Amino acid sequence: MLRALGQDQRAIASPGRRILLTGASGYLGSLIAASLLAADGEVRILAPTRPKRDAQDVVAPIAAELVALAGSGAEAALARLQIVALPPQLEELDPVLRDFGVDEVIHCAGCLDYFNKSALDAVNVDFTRILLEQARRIGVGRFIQISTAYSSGYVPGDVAEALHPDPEEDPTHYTVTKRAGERLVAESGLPYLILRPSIVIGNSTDGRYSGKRYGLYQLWSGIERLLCREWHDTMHVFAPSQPANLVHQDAFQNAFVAAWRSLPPDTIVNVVSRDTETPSVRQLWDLWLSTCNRPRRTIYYESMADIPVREIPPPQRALLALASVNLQIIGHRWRFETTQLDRLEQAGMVFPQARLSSVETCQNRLIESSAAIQKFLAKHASALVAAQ
Amino acid sequence: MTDSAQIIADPVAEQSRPATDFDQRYYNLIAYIVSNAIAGEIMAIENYSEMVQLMPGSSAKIETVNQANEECKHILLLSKLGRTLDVGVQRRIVEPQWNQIRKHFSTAVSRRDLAACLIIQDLMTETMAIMLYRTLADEAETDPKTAAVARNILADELEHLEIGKHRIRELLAEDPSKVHDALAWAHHRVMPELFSMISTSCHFLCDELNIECGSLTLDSIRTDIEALKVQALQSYVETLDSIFDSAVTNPLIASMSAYEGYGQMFSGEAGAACCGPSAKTSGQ
Repeated sequence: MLRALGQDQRAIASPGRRILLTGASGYLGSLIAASLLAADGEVRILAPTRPKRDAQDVVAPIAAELVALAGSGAEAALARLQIVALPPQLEELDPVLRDFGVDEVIHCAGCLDYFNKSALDAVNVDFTRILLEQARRIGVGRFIQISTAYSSGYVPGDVAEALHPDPEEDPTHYTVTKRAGERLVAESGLPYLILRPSIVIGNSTDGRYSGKRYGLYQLWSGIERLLCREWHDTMHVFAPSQPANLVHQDAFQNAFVAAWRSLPPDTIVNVVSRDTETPSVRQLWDLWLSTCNRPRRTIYYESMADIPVREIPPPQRALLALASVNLQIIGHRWRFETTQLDRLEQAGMVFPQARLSSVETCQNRLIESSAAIQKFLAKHASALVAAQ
Repeated sequence: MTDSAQIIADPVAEQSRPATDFDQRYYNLIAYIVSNAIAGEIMAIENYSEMVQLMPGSSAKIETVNQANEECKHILLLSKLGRTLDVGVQRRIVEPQWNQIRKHFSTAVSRRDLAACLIIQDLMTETMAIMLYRTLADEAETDPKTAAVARNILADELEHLEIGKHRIRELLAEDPSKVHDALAWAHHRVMPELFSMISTSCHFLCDELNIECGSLTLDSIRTDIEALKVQALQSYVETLDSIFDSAVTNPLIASMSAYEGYGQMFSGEAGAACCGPSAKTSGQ
């Protein structure tokens, strides 16, 4: 039976308020920065970025998100964010961290290049190790790691909110390195919190999204580039009927802040939508195709191996190949333990589930903002109408 | 080399500069594309010549020498096209990507990896060359002389592609896993270089041609970089599908979404946000 947060003897008394945040220039990092600055007036964030990186480029998406979250208080909140250039050796940052009074590390930097094994190892494993050493040196109270819901690799049954053993198969080397990073954190001796989001998409209410074209956006972007040049009478799509686990960015932000505030040390949280709520891959395709491409006929395939790749139109074949790795991951039947999310929700956290209607909000925002798609819709209006 | 040029059909002979339907921007673009094509042909000559030693028998060696000879003729045709159109073209390798591909090819030769050599030259490079010459051969978009030269060269390159496919199928029948390894090795090294060249910005070529770098656009041949990238991707996938199983090729194609210079095609943004060591990293 779940315990109320207040009854947990290990409940964290006071989360860190002088925070070292890595990866602030990325999507989840910027969401975390904005959420923390908006949620707690005492929080100050130090964000190291690459020396050549323009600090304004890092601050801009955080500022935009802060405006959405905090309105007129955004400017004051942003003043509590400090960007610092990453030195060649991380130890050189120690005096800066001590001056800042860093008492917590949120490690959000990571390599997502599935196919660059050396970079994945260097960033997701080696850099995590170095950062943990630094965190120990300066004596932080907690180390928070942003991992992935897929760090278990392909496993039968539920993905537990625990450290994972090595599976028989991993989708990519990315999950191997994220799993290794989690273990380093857990074995560091520092109190830790690990959050594992699934596929993060835009805000549930207005669809805003400032991330790169990863995850579902990679697929949408691929359709935009490859399938919106000409109208396709028939579409061949890899569309398993099982749920595709998506998480809205506001759900991720709420879960992060709630976990940061209230979860006890050494906790792992799967930040995922409920299986019963999140749409299937097939529903996602239907949603897109009915809005944009509107083919006369759609042929669905439950397995990649069933698709006659040499017989389908070249743009569809190219998309299938380009998106094949992510499609296979999204098409796998994932089941996640959600004990910690359930606890947080019982304690009052609002977690907007990714439902077909809210995903549609995100999808349509992208479609409306895409010049290429609008051109396609205008050019093929007659075919699109006839196909309906 | 001049003698060789005279014995083939000469699509630019006896013709003067075409009517002025095309402006200076068009000719700058043609100079840029033709110079790059010549660089690719130079590389092809060197590749075929170096590959001869790996070919299994006399007839295959002779065929490979002939392929090198045909690439040589292409250089002469392209150079003559430049003179006829009165546009300056470079007859040497300027852009560094070609040298990089040459380096990878030489590595494959030193490893005596014939499959990798065939994949680099006959599949990857020829597929990109075919895409380029098909674009130039479209008479609706280019001037008649350019279209005629491109059509002429295109026929040879299509033949080279078929020769390469045939040879690779033979190697696949002997040892599929060795060929699959060669494909992955070559793909990760050569395709980023080839795709990075689908661009109107350059390292040095514009300087060499006295063209203002950044001024080139493809609209004078009514296409754009995005369209060329899509065509190149589709052509490459089609070529691979004609030889390999999709289970082998899908992960390789998927890796292209991360290519530098190709990220805008699929991932939305080139480069990556970073906080970490000097590897390519991203905030998540």
